[in-house]
Amino acid sequence: MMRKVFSLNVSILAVMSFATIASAQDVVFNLDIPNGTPPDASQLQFSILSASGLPYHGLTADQTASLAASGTGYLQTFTITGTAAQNGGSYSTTMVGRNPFLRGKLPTHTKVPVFPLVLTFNSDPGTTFDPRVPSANNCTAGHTVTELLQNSPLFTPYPFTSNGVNVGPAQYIDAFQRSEFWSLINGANYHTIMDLSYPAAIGITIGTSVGFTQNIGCTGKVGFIEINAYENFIQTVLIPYVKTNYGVDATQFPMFLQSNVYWYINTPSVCCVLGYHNAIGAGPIQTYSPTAWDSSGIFGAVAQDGAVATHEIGEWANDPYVNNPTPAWGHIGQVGGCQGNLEVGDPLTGTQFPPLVGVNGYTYHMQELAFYNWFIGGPSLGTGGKYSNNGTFKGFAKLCPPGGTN
Amino acid sequence: MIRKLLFTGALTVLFTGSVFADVYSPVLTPGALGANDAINFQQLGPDSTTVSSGVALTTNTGRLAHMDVFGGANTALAIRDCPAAPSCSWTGAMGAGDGLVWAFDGTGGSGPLGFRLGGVSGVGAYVQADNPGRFQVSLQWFDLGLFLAGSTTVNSDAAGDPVFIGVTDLSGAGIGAVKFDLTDSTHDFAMDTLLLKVPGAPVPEPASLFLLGGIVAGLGFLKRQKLAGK
Repeated sequence: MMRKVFSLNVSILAVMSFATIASAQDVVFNLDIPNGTPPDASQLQFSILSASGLPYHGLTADQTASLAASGTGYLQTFTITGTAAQNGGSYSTTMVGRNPFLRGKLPTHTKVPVFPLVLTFNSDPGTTFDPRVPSANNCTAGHTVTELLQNSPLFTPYPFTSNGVNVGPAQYIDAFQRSEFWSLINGANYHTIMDLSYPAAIGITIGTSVGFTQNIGCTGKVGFIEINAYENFIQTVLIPYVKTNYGVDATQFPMFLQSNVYWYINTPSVCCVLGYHNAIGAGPIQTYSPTAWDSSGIFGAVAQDGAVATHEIGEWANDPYVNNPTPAWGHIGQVGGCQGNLEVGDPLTGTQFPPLVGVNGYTYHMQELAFYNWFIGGPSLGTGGKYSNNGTFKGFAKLCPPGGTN
Repeated sequence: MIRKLLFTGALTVLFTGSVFADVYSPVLTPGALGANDAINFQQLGPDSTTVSSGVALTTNTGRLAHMDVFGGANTALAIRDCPAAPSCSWTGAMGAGDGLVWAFDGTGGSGPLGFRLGGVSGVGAYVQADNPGRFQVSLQWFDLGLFLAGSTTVNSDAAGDPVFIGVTDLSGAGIGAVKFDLTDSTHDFAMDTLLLKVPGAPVPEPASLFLLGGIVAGLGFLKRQKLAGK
């Protein structure tokens, strides 16, 4: 499976050392990977921290009851097939939720257990990146990242308007799914709801060969991790651990939340990935997403607070298994070349939805997302006949090359 | 004497047997059914209530019935007060204000839906598939002993508008149960209020009918005895 990333280009100057890990943890998992074999996931160790300090620990009784009827072992998805206007090809698309083309509109729920990652770097002893505590220099206005995420429009219903149409109240991605197929929804009780929980925080110590910190940004310090080592660690250690110990399964969408820590690819000069979503396994496929919450401001307004999570959750909902093909599109958003998959965030990376004031008074910056018909072409099924949820795309994608949009 | 007893016994069998010689006729409109009772599915609870197989239902006139869900997780969903279009995605005769039952268990179709009715002379309902487009709905009916007595199918139009499907027992209240389904593999449909045609008086149970027949025959036997004695 390929993974999709939220990436921005930033020059990072770093001097990396290759000291060995020396820290001790309450519960430490050591991977036996020979030194020098990249990706060296053994450079990441983790310990389980208490769930205390998290704003919200689990699903409510009502949410649990609403999920009782599911339990098929598979993520609830639907598959539709469309003929692309760009090239006449037939494209099969799998998305999360209930098929909006069917009668019987009703909400679907997906459990989203979020594991805050408390990151420490051996290269910078004493520095911790903890989503459970307010950031330094008041960059999160006194809020913790976990509280910001929980009360963000991503997980708390908000009275959304998309292209002049009232599609809310709904969570942001739910509102997007409704907007995307509005001509089929028309205000019906159709929702794609994500039920947030914080089962536990997980501490991870980053070895010096796969991570470092820098003294930049509002927060005064940010961190970087080599993404291949990190992803190896996620797949071989962390996903199995949360499955065994926290009941995570393929019907759920676990997220790993980190505060002001991003990824580089192989070498710090190839930076930065701010989030990605992926799917692994056979049979019931496990989907998941590591996501950064940026309050440092080093990437500018386009990536701050909820923008990355918006991008990743939106892409997961519209391409959970990372295998929805489309006609080639590109040279737009974060895509410099041509791309052929239905990643609703990528063509609009850097384009914000109008700022939203959450229930906690915090002003959030969510990313605008592209509709299904932007990729497949033809008349839009979405709000206002547009091709993205804030009307930036007024026509569908042009074939790539040359790419761009109508 | 013995011959007379055997003769009256044969009469009893013939008499009671004629009660069960039912003649069924499929009906395609509520008007042809001539319903005088109904099961309103709003009684199943709030919107999107999960309904287990075997749930008890009460008709408008207080008769008892049961609904059985044969597929999937053996549950269905109640749709209470389908709101006005466009929010109600069920269309036509299954529109605004109606209470529906949906053969859906959260992941897919859970039909057929069966109803044990205890003896009615007619039953029918509007049915619509959740997948837009043409569909075919089937109805099976069962006698008072719950043995299959007949079946029929009805095709929708190309748009997949609701169709009415039902059956009447022209000879009495001999319909013990019915089963609705789609003939495709989805078993995923909703149905509107179940319309019933019931006798004005309580419907005799089969055992009562046999007893009644025996009494009538017995009276006949006694009368013949009296006449013979004279």
